[in-house]
Amino acid sequence: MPATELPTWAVYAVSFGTPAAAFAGAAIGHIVTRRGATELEKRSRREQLMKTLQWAAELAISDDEAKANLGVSQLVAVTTSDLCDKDVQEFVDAALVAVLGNLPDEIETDPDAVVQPIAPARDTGDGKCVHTLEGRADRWVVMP
Amino acid sequence: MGRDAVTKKIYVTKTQVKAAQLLVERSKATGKTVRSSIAKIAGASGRSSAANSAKTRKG
Repeated sequence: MPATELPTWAVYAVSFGTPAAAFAGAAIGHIVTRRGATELEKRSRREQLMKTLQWAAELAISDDEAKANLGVSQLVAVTTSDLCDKDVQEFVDAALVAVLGNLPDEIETDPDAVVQPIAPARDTGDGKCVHTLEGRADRWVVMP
Repeated sequence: MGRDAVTKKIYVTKTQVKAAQLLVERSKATGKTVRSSIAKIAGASGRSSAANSAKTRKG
């Protein structure tokens, strides 16, 4: 008496198909889970990038020249990130414009004005040509 | 920022010059125009080539 009445092809299909289908299911499940984890990680990194952008923008407009310089450097670093898209770039540009304050307007109202770069005296160690600026504690020297 | 009414000098910090240079470089990359005053600030540190070659507009 035969063990089964199923045709031979059906026996093979069940024998090999069941583990193959189980493997395929597990593989697809793994791929879907992995893709979800990648998306989550990307979202987390973007969130961190936005926090860094906020921190950098706040530093960039600081009255402390060293902090402001660090902020601008951080803004540059944000733009070089692979997560920096058009939206983030717009925020960075806005922060850079904010660093300039009302300088552009001031220069446009007086086209004959000469723009003179200055640096904090403590950075250069130069005792000559020391200026004080309204609202700033630093003493400044004219840069060559 | 400070200004000297006698010499007509407007004082800008190194950071502000750097920010202006970045804006000018960005405008070159995107083709957007940048205010002439920003280009003037960017050119204040000797790196005037970037500022001079940038598209500028008044106002």
